Order: sequence, then structure tokens, then C-alpha cells
Amino acid sequence: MEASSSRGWSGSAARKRRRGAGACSGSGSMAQSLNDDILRSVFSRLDDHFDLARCAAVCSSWNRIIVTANLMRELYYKRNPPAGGSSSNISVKSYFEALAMDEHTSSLYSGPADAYQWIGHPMSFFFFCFRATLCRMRGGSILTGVGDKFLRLWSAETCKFMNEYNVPNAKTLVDFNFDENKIVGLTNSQICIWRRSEPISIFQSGGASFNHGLCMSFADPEVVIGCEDGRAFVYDMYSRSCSSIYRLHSSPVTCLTITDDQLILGGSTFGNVAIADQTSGQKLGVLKSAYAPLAIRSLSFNTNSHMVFAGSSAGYAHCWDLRTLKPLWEPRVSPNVIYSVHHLPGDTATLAVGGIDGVLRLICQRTGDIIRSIIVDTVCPAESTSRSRHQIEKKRVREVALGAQVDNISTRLRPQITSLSVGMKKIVTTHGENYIRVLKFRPKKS
Amino acid sequence: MASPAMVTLISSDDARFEVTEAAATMSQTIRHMIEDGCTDGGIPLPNVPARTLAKVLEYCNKHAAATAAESSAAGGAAAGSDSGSSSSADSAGKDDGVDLASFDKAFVEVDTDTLYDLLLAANYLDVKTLLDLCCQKVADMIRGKTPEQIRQTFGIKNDFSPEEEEKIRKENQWAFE
Repeated sequence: MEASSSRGWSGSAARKRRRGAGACSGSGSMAQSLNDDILRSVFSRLDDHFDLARCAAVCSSWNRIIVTANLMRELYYKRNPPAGGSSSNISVKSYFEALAMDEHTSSLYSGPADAYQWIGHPMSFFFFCFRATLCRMRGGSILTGVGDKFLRLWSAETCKFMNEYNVPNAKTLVDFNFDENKIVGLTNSQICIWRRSEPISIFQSGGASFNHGLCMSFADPEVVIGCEDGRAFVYDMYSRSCSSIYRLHSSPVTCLTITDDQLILGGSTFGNVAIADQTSGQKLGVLKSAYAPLAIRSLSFNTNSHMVFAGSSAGYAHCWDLRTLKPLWEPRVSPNVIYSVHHLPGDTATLAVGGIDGVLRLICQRTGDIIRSIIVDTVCPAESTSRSRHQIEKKRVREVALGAQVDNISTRLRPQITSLSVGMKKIVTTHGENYIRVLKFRPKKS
Repeated sequence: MASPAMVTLISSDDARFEVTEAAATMSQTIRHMIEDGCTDGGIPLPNVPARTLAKVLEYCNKHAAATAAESSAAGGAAAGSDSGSSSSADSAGKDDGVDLASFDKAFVEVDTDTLYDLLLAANYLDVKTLLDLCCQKVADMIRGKTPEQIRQTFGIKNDFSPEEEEKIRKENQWAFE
């Protein structure tokens, strides 16, 4: 059945031309649609800002009704009666954004959580065991891959398969990321770009101007590739040309991130992070750690607070202020290698950290203190014996007491976290295995 | 007690329904028609097909009967002087409330097409409590869903251009992360 039905759930605007045909025509009700008043009455019953904001993104007439009736503002006043005294001049928009971030933080810090696990990269007919080593989450979608010839896109809400992308020429991807429109992947000598709607790559960089690419980061229109020789290559994704090359390190570039201010941050195997400024073409400085030897394995930059976070091979989590280049904190949060650090863009409270020891740690962005450590129970529900491909198993999330010896926890309960990515009240993890996990956190009170 | 006044309602597909005036006048639209005296030969409802009208009348009959029972119970309680009878009347009223709530809950456990018809009919007939009930049901169905899931549930076509959709999502980015 077609998705667009003759039933007018989407409001009356699209059917205005039918007005005047007379209300009395016998089979009229099929063509009638819910008028704005009915829909407005429905929307004004939504007391959750997430629901209301999502309804505004359903279709144009729902959007029009919610915008013209100022329903977000109405909800704001429902929560903050104007008579309440405190006349804060915070805009409704930033109020709800702050509210969402608070909810995200409190859910991650102390809310109950469930894990959902499914086989995302199953074994092929030829008994090659495929794996997912990397994961990214953005705008409610999850992209997984590396270790499989396919990249797969999933819905973060339902864990349902959405699309897959074939890596051309039997090459192996080493890194990837995506946005609303496209997916950018890196093999060790090529960049591949896919449109989200098409499984075939639309662009592969020609020539081998870079070798042994290890990591990448992109921000329209540019993609930066970090290489084994310590250089970073900047490509224009549309003209397909290399626009500049920076020597960041004398050792391999292990991880990269581009900031909104055109800065390139690159971590090295020597434990520091080099900063290059694309506007001046100069290297700005180096963020250093007090500890050695260690290799930076993962970087995450917070645009709002100008903080640079890193995870390193010796189990340290690091934080620097990009404006002063000074270290703020670097506690040893794990006894072993950290593979991945990430936070929700816009959130200045929580940093998620994962690595070899398989414990997911949530760290305070301001202090570096560990707030919470969790693992996922492997106990399978009985029905999981069936071999259905898209079965999603719900698993229990278990707290690890602060200061508990990780060695005392069976390694079965804590498969290494090779990659993690944080979304609103959720975290996706991959483990270098064929399965993918999403942890969903709820606010404490509900 | 005299037999209650009855009225005849005629659906868009010419089916005739005999109902008590108490049930029919839960609809403000019908109440006005009765007040205007245009009830001879039945009240035509050209916007409501028989299937939907039957469902609406099921709701109206139940609620009209409950209201009648409540008022007679209240009347009984007022007549009774000792506290015992009044408290028993109270509990009877409460039972009715629970009964009615579960009736309402079951009443809107219908597919989206039927719910849609009920919304339109409740709106046209102006049965406020039924309209509220249906709107609440739709709101409950929306709760916790992504835009894509909402579209699927109600069969709504995404008529945004990719640029428009991106802009709208950006406005409240936090709701889509």
C-alpha cells in the first residue's frame, strides 16, 4: 500500500481546493481532512518537547500549524507560568535546547538504561566473518563498518536497517563519517563518497597523492586525511583536488578532527595533538600530555566550550582548552587502551569513553571525574536461539562500582569497545564483532 | 417514568438510527437542530456515514446513560438523610467513573482509519468529550515516535524538500540526535 493515503491526516491545506464542493456530497468524508483546529488540539496535548519538535518535522501542514500557533512557546509557558516571577529573557528555542541537554546529561549520569543488540554484519556464505569496528551516530542514524565490505546505516530509534553502501574495488575502509546527505569513507589510498540514498559510491579520488591514510574528518566542502607519514592532506570534495598539505607530526597521524574555525587537530603516536590553521596555512601549536609513552587514539572537540578531548593508549583521558593550549585534566580512567571518546555535539557536560577493557565510562567534561561505569549483561533471553537476521535483543545494563577492579569482571561481560558514538540519551558501541549495541538512557524520574 | 423522547438520525448513506434525545443532544450540532425544530422526518447528517454514526452513537448512549444514572444517584443521595446512603451513592458514582474510563479506553482502540472518521464526526457533530478523547488518543499514538514513524503510523506523505527538512531539523537539532 502506498504511504500517502487518501486519509488526510496531514491537515487541510493540501485539500483547500476541495472547499466549496459542498459539505453534503455523499462520500465526502473520504476526501475531507482533519482541519487545523483538530490537529492543533492534538498537538497542544503533547506535553513533551521532543514529541512536539518531531511533529513539526512530519510534513509541511503539521509544521505550519505548530509554528503559526506558537505551540513551542505555549509549552514553554505551561512549564514556566509567566506569573512565576523570574522573567528570564532566554529564548524559547534555547530554553528547550538547554532542557534537552540537561535531560541528556541526567539520563546518562544516573538514569536507567537498556541495551539493544543486533547482528549488523553477519557472516557471509563463504564463512568470512565480518565485523563492525567503527560506528558513528548523527541525526538519529547510525553508520557501522570497517571490517566488512559494506557500510550499513541503521535507525537509532528502532535499530532497523536503512541502507548499505558497497566499498568499491574490494578495498578496505579504515575510517568514515557521514552527514544528512552523504557518507565519506577512507581506504588507505582513496576517498569514497556516497549519497545517502544510493548504494554506489559517486566519487573516488584518483591518483595516489596520499599513501597509508589512517584517519579522516570532513566539514563541507573539505575532507582532511591523516597519514602514516605524519602529513594531513586537505581535499575539496567537490572539485576533487588536493588543496593543501600540512606536516602535523613526524609520526603517524592517528586521529583527526576539523573545527568550525578551520582548525585541523591531529593526534599522534607520540602522545600529542598538533593544530594547523587552514586560514593562515600555519601550524598553530601542539597540545601535550604530561605522561609518556602513549599514543592518542581518539579526539573529540567541543565547539561550545572550546575543549579538546582525547583518549590514549595508556588509558588516560585528556582535556585541553584550545584557546590557551593548556591542559585542563588528564586522569587515568582505564587500565588499558582507550579507543574512542565522544560526546553529543552541544553537550558540555558528559564525555563517553570506551576501550580494550570493555567498560563504558561516562566522564564529567569539566573535571575529568568518572561519573558512571557500565557494562552490558550477556545473558541471552531464551528466544535468542533463533537465527533470525534482524532480531534485536534487549539486554540489561549493569553498573560497575567506582573503584572496582575491572580484572575481577569476566571478559565475557566486557567485550572491547572499538568505537562509540553519543546521540541524544543514547550511545552506540561496536566491538570488532558482528554485532552492534545501542544503549538507551531514560530520565531518572520516569 | 415516561418513556424517553426519541429522535431519528439519518446517516449520509441513508441509514436511520433511533436514539434517545439525551444521547443525541450530546452533539451540540444535533441539539441546535432540535432546538430549531427541524426534526420532522428525521435529522439528516450528510457528513457522517452509517458505520461512523453507529460508533459515535455507541459512545453517546453509554455516556448519556451514565450521566442519567449519576444524576439519579445524586438525587437519591440528596433525598437520603443518613451518611450511609450518601457514601454508598458516592462509591456507585466512582464505579461508574472507572467503568466509563475503561469504556473510553477500549472505545478508541481502533485502526487509524476509524479513528480518523471518529475525529471528523466528533468535530462535525460537536461532541466535545468524544473529540477530546480522540485527540488524546492521537497524541498518545504520536508520543515517543520519530517523524518517520509518525508518517508511517498515519500514512502521511513527507512533502518537504530535502533542504526544507534539513532546515526544520536544524532548528531543533536536539530532538533528532
